[in-house]
Amino acid sequence: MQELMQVAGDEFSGSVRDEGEKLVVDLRGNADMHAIDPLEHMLERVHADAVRLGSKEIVMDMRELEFMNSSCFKSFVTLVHSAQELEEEKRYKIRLLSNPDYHWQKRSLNALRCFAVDLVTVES
Amino acid sequence: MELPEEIVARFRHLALEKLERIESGWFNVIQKPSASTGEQIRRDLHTIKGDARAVGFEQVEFLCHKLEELFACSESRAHRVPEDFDLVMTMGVRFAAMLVRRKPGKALGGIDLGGFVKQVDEVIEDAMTAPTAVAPEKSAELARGLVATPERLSEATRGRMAEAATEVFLSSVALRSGSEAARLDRAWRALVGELRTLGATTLDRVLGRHDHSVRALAADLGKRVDVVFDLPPEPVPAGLVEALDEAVLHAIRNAVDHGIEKPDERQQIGKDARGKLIVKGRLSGNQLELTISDDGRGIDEARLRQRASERGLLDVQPMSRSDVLDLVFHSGMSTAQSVSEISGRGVGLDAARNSLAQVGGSIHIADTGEQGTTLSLLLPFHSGRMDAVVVPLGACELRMAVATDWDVSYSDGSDDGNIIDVAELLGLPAATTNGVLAARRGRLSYAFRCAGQPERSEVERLCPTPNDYPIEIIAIGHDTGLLMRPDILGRMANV
Repeated sequence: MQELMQVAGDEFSGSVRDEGEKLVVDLRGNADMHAIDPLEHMLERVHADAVRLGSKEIVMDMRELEFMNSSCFKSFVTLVHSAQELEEEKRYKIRLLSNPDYHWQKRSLNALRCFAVDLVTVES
Repeated sequence: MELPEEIVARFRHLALEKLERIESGWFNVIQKPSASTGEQIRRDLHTIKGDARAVGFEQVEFLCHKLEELFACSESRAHRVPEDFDLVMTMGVRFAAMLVRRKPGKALGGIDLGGFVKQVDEVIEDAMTAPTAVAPEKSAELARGLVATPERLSEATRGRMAEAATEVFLSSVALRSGSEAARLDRAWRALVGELRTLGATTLDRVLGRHDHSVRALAADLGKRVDVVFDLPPEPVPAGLVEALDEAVLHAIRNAVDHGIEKPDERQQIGKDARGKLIVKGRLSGNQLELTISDDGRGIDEARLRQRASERGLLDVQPMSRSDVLDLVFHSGMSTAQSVSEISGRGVGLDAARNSLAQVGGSIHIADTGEQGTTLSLLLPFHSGRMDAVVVPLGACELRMAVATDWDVSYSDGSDDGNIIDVAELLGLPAATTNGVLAARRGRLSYAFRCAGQPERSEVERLCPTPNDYPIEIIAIGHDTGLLMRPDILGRMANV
């Protein structure tokens, strides 16, 4: 297991680690206006690393992510779109780990999944 | 016929430009509502929808229609909406952009448009029934999802909770006195209180959301319509409201599409440019009465007769005016000149009638003419009270009741081994009984130990349990008792 990246803001933190065939992205805190840039940058790196390493899956652990505003959410839409645009042999799956206690996650993550139900799954 | 590529390319270019403007406009309007920004968003969505229809991008057209509804809902609440509303709207714009970029007619592959639209519909529903609205400036609290949105409670879950409350009640009764009994008594009363709240809702919480759909629908048709709700505040069983909701939706769509004229037509005949819909309700005895009135052009009776004649629905004998008007509720009886995506297929009002019939309700035309049409909807509304035959159980000072659809009779004690001891069956202390209550219905016949003569009484169902559960808690005057289901108790006792 190798840690690839870490970001931290006022109330938001994220880390990425390589676990062989998958990348695990751990997101915590509140992804508010201050987290837009670091999150966008992080997810761009995640996509690039997934392609470089030939990862089969990206696991987004949002169980400790209390809040994410819509501007931050756009970065996830971009990530899904980027995965869709890859050639089939390079395409990775995206698994979202959600926390049922956070009401915002249930609806928005299911909506996000609709962008690519063949690539994105939601677990709680 | 396939359109020239340059036309499709131009559509894509303009649509993506507008979507980008909508995205930034939405971000601004959710922070600080602005009439001009809102107007721009509406206009852009409407334009993309129309353009998409013209170039065959049906999925884009459909999604933009839903985004119009979503935006109208937000506007009706002065953009004070829960956080997931903002997320879904933002994603919706991105989703539309994704569809715009795709080749029209190409299979969607992994894109689940239906699933996304379902999320949109649920967000709208939640927003319209949310008990509190959140001011946009409270973004930190907004972020933490503190807006309470009621979750639906399935009948199965409600039934299980009712059974659990009944078990707690029995335990409290068995203990009779002491602190433990008192604690259990408080527990079952609290459970019953919560269940009564969850099993009912007010009409305005459900029907009030049609305000935004009326506006969106009217805007689609180039009309302007205001809707007024005048509804009773008392809670109504959720199942009844759901049936009513469907009927009201069809009736309103029909009124906006067929009844209410366009602004210039209205002004030419001396009406206000803005049409009006009034949804009024009242509880009267065991009935809920709802009227839906519009100030449109009324039902064209002559055309209705003609349409009915074409379909062979007119009897040989002359039909009265009310019989003819009733034909609007027949399937396929639309008198519209053309079918729109809204209505005109003649499936609206018959669906309204079917929805109400399933809960024992009805709908008819109360009045129609050049000044508009009034529909009258009637639903049976039961308060939970019922007539029953009540006898002392002989244990724990409880009384038990049997519904009056059972024939009951009383006799003095006997040694017949088939007499069911309800107290023993329910785990209550032994009963002191000297009587037998016989209950018969059809081929079913059971006998129960009891401690006195039966008498008729009105009871109130405090905590309705599923029909396959043996008992439920009732109020008998100021006391609490048990409503028995003889057949279920008989099965438990292997009789």
